[in-house]
Amino acid sequence: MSKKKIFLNDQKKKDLEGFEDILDLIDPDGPDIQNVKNQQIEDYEIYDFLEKENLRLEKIDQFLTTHLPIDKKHSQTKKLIEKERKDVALLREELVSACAQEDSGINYYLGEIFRNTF
Amino acid sequence: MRLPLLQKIEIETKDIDEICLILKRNNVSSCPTVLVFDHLKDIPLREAVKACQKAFEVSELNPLLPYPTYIVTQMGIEQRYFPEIKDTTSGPKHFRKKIKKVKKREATLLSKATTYSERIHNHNLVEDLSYLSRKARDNKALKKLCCEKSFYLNLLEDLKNPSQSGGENNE
Repeated sequence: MSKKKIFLNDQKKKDLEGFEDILDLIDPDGPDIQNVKNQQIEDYEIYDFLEKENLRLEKIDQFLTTHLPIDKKHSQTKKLIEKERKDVALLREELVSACAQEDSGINYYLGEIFRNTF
Repeated sequence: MRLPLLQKIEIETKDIDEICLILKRNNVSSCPTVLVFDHLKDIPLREAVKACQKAFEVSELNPLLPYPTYIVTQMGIEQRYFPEIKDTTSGPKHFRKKIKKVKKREATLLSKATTYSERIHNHNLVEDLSYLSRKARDNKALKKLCCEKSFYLNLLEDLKNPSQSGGENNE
């Protein structure tokens, strides 16, 4: 049966400081303790960074090359603003006419206020 | 080719030509930069920042794209051109790595990144960014109008069906 291996990184090594004597007592047939090579992990740090950086730059480039020109050419915001302005103006007129009716709620409550006050 | 990691540049003058030279020498467009103004000699910080802004405009550089250029200010000054940070260590973590020798497999990625950054640099960034800020302003106006319209529609519905709206309120 193959031996079980325990890997120690710097943090774990620090935690075990002062227990070196006990470590020596470990059964020779027990698990092997090996240090993790930090180099192996750090090696990919720059690679990973460059991959993320490429993705970021690619997205910015795509946005500036593809999406922005289309939006500039066929922008709908101005037309939508115009449409919403007209709708809001119509709704305001409708609201005013609804409130100005004799049997409207606002007239009723205003009448009540006047009756109770004077 | 060098890795696009955060670089620190000391600015000690307000002479635009000199700043342009510093920017060119440090290849500001190809990596993120922090401009530090710790050793200004009898020059107000605001003037030095203004000079940097002019130098960027003259050199056709953008402080946001492809890589950001930050200025270090403790108190903050009235300007919107450069993004500000409080000290050199508070830049984005993404750009803060240990400088190492680039390996073969990384060199390919680095050359790709350089190509992309040059492509971005070749866009008319001033025009694009001003278009985007105009668009943002219009979108805010549109949102305001939509909210107003929705409020009026709800109000009209309540006026038309007072019993229903009253019942809902009571609940």
